[in-house]
Amino acid sequence: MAAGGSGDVFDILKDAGSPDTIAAQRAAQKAHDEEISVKAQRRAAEAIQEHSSQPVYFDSITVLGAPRTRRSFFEKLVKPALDRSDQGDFTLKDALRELSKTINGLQHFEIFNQNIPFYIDTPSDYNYDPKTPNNPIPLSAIINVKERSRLLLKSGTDLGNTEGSAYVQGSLRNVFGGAEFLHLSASKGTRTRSAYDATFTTPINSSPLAAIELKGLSTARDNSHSGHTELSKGFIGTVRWATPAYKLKQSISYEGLWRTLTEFNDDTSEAVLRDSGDSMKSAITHLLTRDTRDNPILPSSGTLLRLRNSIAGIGPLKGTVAHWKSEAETALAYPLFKGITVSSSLRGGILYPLVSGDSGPKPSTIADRFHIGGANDVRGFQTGGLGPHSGKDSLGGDAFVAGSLGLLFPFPRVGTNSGLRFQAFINGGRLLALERPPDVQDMNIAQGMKYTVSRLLTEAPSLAAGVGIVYGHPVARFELNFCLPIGVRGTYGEEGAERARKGLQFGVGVEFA
Amino acid sequence: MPSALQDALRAPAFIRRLFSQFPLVTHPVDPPPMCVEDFQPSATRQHSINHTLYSFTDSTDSSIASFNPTCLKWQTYLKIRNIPFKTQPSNNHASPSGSLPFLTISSQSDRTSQIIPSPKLAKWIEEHAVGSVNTVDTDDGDYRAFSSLVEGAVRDAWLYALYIDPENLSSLTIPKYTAQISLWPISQILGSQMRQAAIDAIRKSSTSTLPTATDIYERAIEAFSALSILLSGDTWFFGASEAGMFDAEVFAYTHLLLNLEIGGSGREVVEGLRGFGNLVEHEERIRRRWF
Repeated sequence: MAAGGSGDVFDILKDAGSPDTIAAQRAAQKAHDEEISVKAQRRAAEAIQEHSSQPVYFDSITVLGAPRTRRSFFEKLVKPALDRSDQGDFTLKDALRELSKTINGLQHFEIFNQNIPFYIDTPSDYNYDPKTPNNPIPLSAIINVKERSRLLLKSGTDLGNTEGSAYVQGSLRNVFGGAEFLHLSASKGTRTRSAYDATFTTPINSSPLAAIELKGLSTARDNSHSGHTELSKGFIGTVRWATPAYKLKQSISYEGLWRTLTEFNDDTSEAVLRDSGDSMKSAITHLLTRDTRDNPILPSSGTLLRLRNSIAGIGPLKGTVAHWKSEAETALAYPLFKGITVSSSLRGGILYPLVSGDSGPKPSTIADRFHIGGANDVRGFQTGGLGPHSGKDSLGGDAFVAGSLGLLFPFPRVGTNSGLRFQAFINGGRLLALERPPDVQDMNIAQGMKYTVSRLLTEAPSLAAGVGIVYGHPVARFELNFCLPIGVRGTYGEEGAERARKGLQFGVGVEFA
Repeated sequence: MPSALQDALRAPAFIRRLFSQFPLVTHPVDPPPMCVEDFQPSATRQHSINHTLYSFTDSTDSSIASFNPTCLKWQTYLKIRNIPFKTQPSNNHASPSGSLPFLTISSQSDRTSQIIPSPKLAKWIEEHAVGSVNTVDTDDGDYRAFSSLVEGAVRDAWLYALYIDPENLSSLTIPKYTAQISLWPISQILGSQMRQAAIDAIRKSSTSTLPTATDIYERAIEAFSALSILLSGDTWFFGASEAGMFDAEVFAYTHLLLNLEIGGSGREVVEGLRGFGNLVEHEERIRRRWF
């Protein structure tokens, strides 16, 4: 009894843990190419299905082909399968499901080649006794992994959100034989002018679902929409965990960042200048992401929910900025008919100043405030184009809402697999700085925030609409849109006016609102 | 050719007509984010003052002296010339020229502001302040010689006492200049950068090797002695009937040396300065009147 393992076997045994989407797509592609092998697998699957209720137990699970990986790492990985087998009432179907979970876990570490075959046999000294067919049959499972190369050096160009960059990266895989990664990278880009970082990642207790990440970084970012350059140096430590299907991910991180706002333009406004120089952000952030979208770059179905809450500067955190920053984001994609999909998103956030130490609350700084608008944010506006401005500078705001509604149409003849779409959209938002109600003389944060949020929710948002072409490539999404602003605050050239964009706008990025 | 190219790149008439229709609705603009002052009780706000001197200071009140001699010189001179202004605690990053101070003039009507960097400040004050009875010619040879004495020997002693002497560096300079970010290790990193900059500045003015503290302080005391002789029994320098730029320049150093609690080796120069009674009185005269 032997079965070559791949996604297809488990599709038939429906309860098997589903491999992640990318692996499934790859498997589907392969199946298409290798019809014969599929048929063979199907025959094997049928054979297994016939005997799926046969009681069994694991006599041994052997992992081959991993000389550089610690034994204790594998022991922890296969333990759930062995424990389940030891509990009894264990059938062949259960055994295959447990092995499949183990293999999914192994694939997730990215230290082995993705194709991990396994074999099941009975131990060589076992003799089947036909008189007692219901006695559990011992199984020896062999998982055959292939370790990927330990050192990875890479250089190239990258496209991130509204920027292009060139990078050099070095990765050391499986540093201590337990799927630890050390990653060093240096990049120069159009907006992030330079970025250097060193990241060390290690699974927690050999789990593919939980990891600790320690990161040191130094970046120089050109915030030309606000007339300055922001230098950051610091440390970020993150603990992340996920549910088995990776739909729900959470993380808690601490960041200590020394930020310097410098290199102001000659015409940078005073509202930006007063935040110049050094600040220290010391913050704890919780991030929750629930993503059921079929493809994050160009989704046709599913939902996204992201909640980010961050507390900076209070009590033992120290730092020079103190606030609570909370953001929520939802997105929905829904297939209509003939490959046409509706996609919509709604986001919002507030930045609430807190009291730190003996001095009272301080107003937020430009580096902490929200800036919205841009080709992959609120289209039809320039980067940071919404909300309070002074001169050419986006000053950012302490509370915002933004939303979009769009329709995506497949290109005629090319179909829905190409990643090419036409789109029509309307999107908008409102970004406000914390303000005092007009009838109040002395500042009270809670009162001010309540007033600001009520304005945010009751007044008309700034809006833009447009049509364009979208290309969803696996690494990034490209958009070329023709946009027209519908509702904008202030006329062009007026002090404080929002910066809309009429006509063509090109956007590249991995995240689109 | 360029005009032909421009014509080709110009949007067709129907596009321009279309664009002129949008946006369909224009809402009023939103208020800018609040500043520190807006968070303070309404009684202490000084929104009526449109001139702001960005300088190394702890306060927005212009009658609190800056702890940096260059900033204090301009702060004092603006006061002498009766220009109402507030101060804004800031740092060199903010300055277009790379160093403080600079003055901003904001216009309430359109919320915009104009920046006057320190090299252009004298000219701006001349054009905008009420005329002064102090008519000392700042281009005069004597004036320039005494001014370079202050900006040379006195400044070197100041830099040595405040930045290189470890006691004052940690008790005065680091806390004052890194108040914005007084956190270990950042303030220490910034402190050692400031110390190095001071060493470089002294080397630049005294060629090659760094002179000893005693050399530097002795030269400063000699300079004070020359200034004391120059002032002699007059109220203001150069026998003027009203304080001027040079008085502000000398006050910037004498005030800080006499009033900051300078310890360590710096006490040597402070004690030396105390020996010149007319300079001490000159400091007190300006302090009582404008600070």
